Amino acid sequence: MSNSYENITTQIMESLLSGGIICEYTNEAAYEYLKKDTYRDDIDQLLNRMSRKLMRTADQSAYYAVYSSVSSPERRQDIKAQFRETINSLEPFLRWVKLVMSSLQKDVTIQPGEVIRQGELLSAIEVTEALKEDLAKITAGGVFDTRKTEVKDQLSSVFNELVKREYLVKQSNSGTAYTATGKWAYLYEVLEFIYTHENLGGEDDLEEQQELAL
Amino acid sequence: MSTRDAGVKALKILGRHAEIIMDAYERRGGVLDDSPENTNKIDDLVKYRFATFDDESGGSPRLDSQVKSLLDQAVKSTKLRMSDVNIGEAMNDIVLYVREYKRAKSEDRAADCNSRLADVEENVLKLCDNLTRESENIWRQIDSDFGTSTILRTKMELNRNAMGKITRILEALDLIDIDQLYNFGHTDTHLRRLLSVRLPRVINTCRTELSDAIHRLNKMMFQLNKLAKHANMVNSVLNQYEVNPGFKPEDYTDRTEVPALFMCVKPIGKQVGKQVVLTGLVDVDSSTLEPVFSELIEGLRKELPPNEKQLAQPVPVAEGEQTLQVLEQGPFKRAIRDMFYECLSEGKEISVIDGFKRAPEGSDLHLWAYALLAEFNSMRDEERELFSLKYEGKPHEVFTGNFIAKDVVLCPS
Repeated sequence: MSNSYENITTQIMESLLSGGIICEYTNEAAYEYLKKDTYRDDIDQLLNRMSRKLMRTADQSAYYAVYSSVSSPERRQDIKAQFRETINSLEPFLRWVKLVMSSLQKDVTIQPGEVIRQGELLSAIEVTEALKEDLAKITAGGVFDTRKTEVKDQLSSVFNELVKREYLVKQSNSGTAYTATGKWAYLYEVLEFIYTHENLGGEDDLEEQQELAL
Repeated sequence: MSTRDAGVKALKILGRHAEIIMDAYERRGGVLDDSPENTNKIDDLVKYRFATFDDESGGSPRLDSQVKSLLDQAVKSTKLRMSDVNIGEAMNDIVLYVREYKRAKSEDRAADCNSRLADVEENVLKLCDNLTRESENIWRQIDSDFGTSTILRTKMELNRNAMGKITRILEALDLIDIDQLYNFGHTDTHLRRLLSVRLPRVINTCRTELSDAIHRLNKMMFQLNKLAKHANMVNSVLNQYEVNPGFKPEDYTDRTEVPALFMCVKPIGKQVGKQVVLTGLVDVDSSTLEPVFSELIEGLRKELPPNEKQLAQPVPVAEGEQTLQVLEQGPFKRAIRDMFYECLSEGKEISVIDGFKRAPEGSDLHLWAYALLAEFNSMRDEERELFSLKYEGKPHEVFTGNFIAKDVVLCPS
């Protein structure tokens, strides 16, 4: 077994077991490694021995580990805690996505690989009262909670939290430019699940389905 | 003036007024700057039909669409242009000229024959160029992700438009009777070159490229639909939070079959600063590990008992008179035992490293430590009760069952 194989396998296992996400932007070498069926199977087998398995997002932009079964009350408690954490942070994350879209005048959500510049956002938010209010609302509690009152500080705080939670990685050559990671793809899958199972699309989805049927 | 002279003059006019033309093409949406200093230039361009006065643009002169097409082609523009390729009409013209050419040839009208062959060639080359340009144009739009448009809906419309255009071209190409073209070229070398080789080759290339383009456009459309769906979901779910503050979805982890999406692992290990340090804990509740554990336990009992049967013949030993010999302790063992005496008599703790100064010169520290442990372990129970050992060190960061001792301290009980 070569050193490079050993190193990359160790990196991947450590990252996955620590609850991390592997994508092109968090660890390119590991991501490329997992794209190969044989290597992916190897990692999956290692995880299986620890009652875990490898998952990837539908767009294949990110890999993460999940439990392969809920075999004990302790494990169910762990899963419950993770679910609560995800659901509680859903609203602030979506508000942030909406804020970025409005500020940059885009009609698409944040996508893995997208470069977000803090300065660009700051310039847009500082001159628009409604956007300032939205940012204040996002940072008033929950995952982005901060006591800062200046737009710049609030924005920095949100960016720091997003980096901490692996949603963004700082670009090495620039102080305030960040790249969105594959974790956004995971978030949108959670969103789609909730959207579908809670029937939040209502009439629109019904019409869409009828159109498809025709 | 001959056609050649007129053509050269026209091209010179274009060259002379290149600045104003490019200004109109690049920055003014095709409308020429009609300020007084440009009056003569505009007159020249209008005279040669490179520009025309347009009522729609408030009477301002604008570049002719042919000039814009020429520039699009030259600068490989990604701007969207209406397709001017009409395959059906072009093929009708080609067939007409071929028939006229064959008739003139059969009637030995050489001048007509040459003239009609030139018509066939021009029309074939024009159709080939149009098909190639159309395919290139569509691919340029695809490669540039439909130019500068940042609006999702516009991109989707442009995608549908390109898809429709490709479908129409492919349908028209399907209607071309290739067998008829081969038949035309069957008996004539000139026609064979044009109709049996060149045109079918271009048609085939165009068909392949456009089929690839459809595949790519479909993929792009799938991606665009996904992006639109994401934006729609974000809006809908946020709307739900607005309308219904405190909205909480069902706890899907209560279900018997928990969706894999919500079974993300809890980080293994302990938090050290900002990092999670992994530990080598095994999941003892895991039923999948049962065979591994069983194998380990079996392995512990696997060592076979020693074979009691001695194959070697016993050696006869003469029982002579035996004298009791007292083994004298060496300086190393004495030094070890001195440590125990000192610990007991002075009632103080002595570490192996500190006590190493008692060891005879040239002793090894590790050996010294192991000798102390061996002395402790080989004592009778009543003697050992007088002492205890303390290990100074820390657990292994990964394999938590292991303890890395840096020193051993001998303590009085």
